[in-house]
Amino acid sequence: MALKVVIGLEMHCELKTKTKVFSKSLNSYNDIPNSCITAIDLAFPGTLPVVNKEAVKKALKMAICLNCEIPEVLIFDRKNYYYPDVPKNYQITQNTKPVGINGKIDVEVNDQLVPITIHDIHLEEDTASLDHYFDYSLIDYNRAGVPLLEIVTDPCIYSPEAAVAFLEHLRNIYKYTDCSEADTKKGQIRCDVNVSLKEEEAKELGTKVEVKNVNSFSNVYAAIIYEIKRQTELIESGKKDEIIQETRRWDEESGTTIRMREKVESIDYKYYVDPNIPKIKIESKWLEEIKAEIPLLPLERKAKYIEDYNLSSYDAGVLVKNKEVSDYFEECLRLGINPKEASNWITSQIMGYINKHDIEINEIFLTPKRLLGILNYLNKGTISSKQAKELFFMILEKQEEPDILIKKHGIEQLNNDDELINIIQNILDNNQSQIDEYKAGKTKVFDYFIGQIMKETKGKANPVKAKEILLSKLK
Amino acid sequence: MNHKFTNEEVTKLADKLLIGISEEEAKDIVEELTFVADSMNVISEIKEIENLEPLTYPFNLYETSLREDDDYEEGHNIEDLLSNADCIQGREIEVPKVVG
Amino acid sequence: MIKNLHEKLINKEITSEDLIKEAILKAENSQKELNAFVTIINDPEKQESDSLLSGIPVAIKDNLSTKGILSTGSSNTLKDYIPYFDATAIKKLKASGAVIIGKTALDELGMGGTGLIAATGPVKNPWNQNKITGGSSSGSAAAVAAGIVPYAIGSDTGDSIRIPAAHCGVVGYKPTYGMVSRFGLFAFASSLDTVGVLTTSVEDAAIVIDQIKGQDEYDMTSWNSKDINLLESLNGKVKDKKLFYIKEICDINNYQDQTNELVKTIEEFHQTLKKCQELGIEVDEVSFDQKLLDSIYPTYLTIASAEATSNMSNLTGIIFGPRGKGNTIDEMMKDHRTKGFSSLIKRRFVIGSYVLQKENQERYLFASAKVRHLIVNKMNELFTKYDGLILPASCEPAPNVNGIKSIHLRTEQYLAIGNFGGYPSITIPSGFVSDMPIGINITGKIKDDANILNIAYALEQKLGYKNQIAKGEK
Repeated sequence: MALKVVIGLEMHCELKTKTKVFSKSLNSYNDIPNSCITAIDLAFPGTLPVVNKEAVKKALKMAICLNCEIPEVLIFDRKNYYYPDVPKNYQITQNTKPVGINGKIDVEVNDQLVPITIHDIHLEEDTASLDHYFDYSLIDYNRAGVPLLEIVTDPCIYSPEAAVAFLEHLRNIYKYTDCSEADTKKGQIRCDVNVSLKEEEAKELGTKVEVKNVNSFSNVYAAIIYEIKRQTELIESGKKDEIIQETRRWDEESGTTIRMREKVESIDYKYYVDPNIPKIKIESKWLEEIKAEIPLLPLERKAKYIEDYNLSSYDAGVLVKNKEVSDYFEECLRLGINPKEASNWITSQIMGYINKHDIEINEIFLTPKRLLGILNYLNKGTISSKQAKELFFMILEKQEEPDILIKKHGIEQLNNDDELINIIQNILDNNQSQIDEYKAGKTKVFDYFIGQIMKETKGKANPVKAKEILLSKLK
Repeated sequence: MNHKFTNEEVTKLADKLLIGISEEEAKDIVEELTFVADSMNVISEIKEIENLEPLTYPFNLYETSLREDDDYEEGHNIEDLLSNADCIQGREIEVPKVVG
Repeated sequence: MIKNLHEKLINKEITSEDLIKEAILKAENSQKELNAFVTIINDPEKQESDSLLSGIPVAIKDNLSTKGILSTGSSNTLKDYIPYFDATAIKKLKASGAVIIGKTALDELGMGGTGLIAATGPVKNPWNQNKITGGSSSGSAAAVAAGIVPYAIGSDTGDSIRIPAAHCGVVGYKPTYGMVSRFGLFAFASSLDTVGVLTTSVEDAAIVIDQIKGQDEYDMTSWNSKDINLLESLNGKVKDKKLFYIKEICDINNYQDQTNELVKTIEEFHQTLKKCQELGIEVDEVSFDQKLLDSIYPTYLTIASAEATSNMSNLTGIIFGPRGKGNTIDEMMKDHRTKGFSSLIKRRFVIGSYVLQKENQERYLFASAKVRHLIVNKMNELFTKYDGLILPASCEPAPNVNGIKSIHLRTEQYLAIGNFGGYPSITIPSGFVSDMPIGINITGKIKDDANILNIAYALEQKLGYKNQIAKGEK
């Protein structure tokens, strides 16, 4: 009996705005507790929400990127539940008319495009953070009211790899559109993962288990793997009944999921329209303006790189995987660097360096302009490609300009014909037996001579010229 | 045809709202809920409502504009914010340990 | 009255200090009999302005947030709550130079129509202390009717300004929804709540709302009313205006229990209609479906309770209000709410919660909201033909305090029509039945406040109860 996993995701991501979604308090990270708070955030009697236009705009932008249907009017609803992280004891969210429904987006999984359908996208407010101590908790409301966008997929994902690919893709879109920093390290992204198993042929979905509040993509992956294992074992040992509709949480320490509550005692959130927020009419003109602001998204950029610049699908994929990398590449093009050359340098040297040091591409000293400096010397023949690589690392480590480094360290290529001829003639004069071997058909000896030339010139000989001269001498 | 409300039922409802009620209060609630339920029977006979949307706002306020994101307020004075809280520690509100 | 006081202040016939001192003294002396105040402010804040309200005392319903002044909503859940910010309406009053001398009691958090369920105890009617004031703006109505302050701020969710105004023989004006910002008004039912005023004349009502109205960046449901100037609109010209009344409410034969007071109130109402006609106003009778009229109260109860239970879930004693006892946070919140709320509020909350439950929304909340829609559609249609709806503000004068059952199932709450559609609605005194004042109410189409006030203004002159306060003083 082959089992198939069916996954649905709910991805929460904090939007990048100056102020909170319903108050004028700053939306910013602050170590000082309760320093970004106004009366509304603490739900003092008589306070009212006022919707932030930028938050709505960014929510709409995401809905457009995910090809959602956007309603003519938006409505905000209340989700009622008693919990100290929501001072009003209801969260303002969207249920009746969210910013987007019925979206669809293709995601690349192992070089194949996989369609993922979006159930809905809704804008809501983030909750306060609770710090737990031995026998009490402290509440910091700085995060309460930060605009939070929740993207809910249909149960349409069939592997943990696809789930993570989708999340990475979404994070990319957030960054490409500047809707969010989408930084998991800052806790800006949190996911709820729904996992169920069914028999391959079955039409009905299996019993759904929800794993709540998973805060990194690697944990999403691990949680899915764990749930597949747990549920498979239960099914295979005839304990299918023990898979119940429930909410679990991911425990990072043990690498397992732990039961939070059964759905039987689940809360009725008593959703209803928030009368404090009038219906928001979405003018088509505004939507057009928002659409016009959306830059090329990862897969569109990739297609362009392949088509216009003749890059391989693999290289183009590497370039667009991270917005900063893609931006770096495009900046190189703007500076006139040949696309292929830029791509080669970025995908091999630069990516190797940033991955090794676990830093971002826009954090390195080697800006596209400095890369252009290296390439100018290389293409003029002033330096060899080997020297170019040396220069590359020198710039990164010494944090100095290419021009200065070249002068300081005398990095240049030996281009003088006469000098080269002399050196080569000298080497040939001392290696008559090798010349004989070469002439007898042992062409490999050619590389031996090149090696000798490089050794003699401390690697500075222009390899192209050296080859030419050597060939003519060996004729 | 109406659902018959019981004291236990309304006590449980109140409990979900974090409210404790006495037997007497439960009885009154049952009485008024029954009145409301009966009234809904009458309402269901009003044919004209069938094709209407529920009205959530007294009238449409479409002209309302959204708040621009440029203007912000500095965080309010922490003494003001916490002056009505009975249990605080430093800049924060203290509560018994909350378990997820 | 306000204009008169203003002139006297300008001419230095009186001083603001004297006015304020007198109001505070009257307020203190009235407490034992009327119990209208939660707080009397002995050294009130003063801000000079050239507005008509400058230097004149005012009382504020205790469900409006006043900076540095206890604001309890007459609920034990907020018995020590001192806000650090002013409601927008209060800010505007202060900027107009109004001097707040006290906070008035209300039916807890605005719920209830009797004046009997404030945390500080029942409020008594200045005309007769055995009678109720009506509610929920009970303290504000009593303070104005007793001549303590010339005007008081109230709030109206179902009829909370207009009923106590009728029972206390004063003017009660609920402007169009959103004309005055709700920011700082403790929410009861947000889609119905309106800040308004109790005065002794229509002119005063116009003066006060002119000062506190306006679009507010802190209330999305507020709207721009710059083009409306209520005071300037009062010209008394009402010839050829058209009013209608609802047959089923105003026909004595339609009532089974015809008490003497009901009969007289209805008779008085028809007398008032004659006076309207004498002013050149056309008055028509319009028949309503009785079922629809009967559904107003349960519909109102359903909608208001649903909104209230959610609105007031912020009252948990964690961030403000007395911390409850208990070992867990839920126990603490439950203790706070169990002890802090009166039975009536708890009842409303449970009803509200019941109708909000997923499985009940369609049958209860949506059905009620559809009835609301139907009524609003009908009214809007009638307002294309008529300037306003005229009705007895209440079908009886203030009942006895002892005559109120613990559950006062009011089958008549037709003034809630005004809140369903957000309409401007004003009650003015129109006579007496059994030595107690009664009132009539005029309701008009949204944002047509100036027209409605002007009709009330003309009728007020005809009826002759302008500037009336209790104990026969005029």
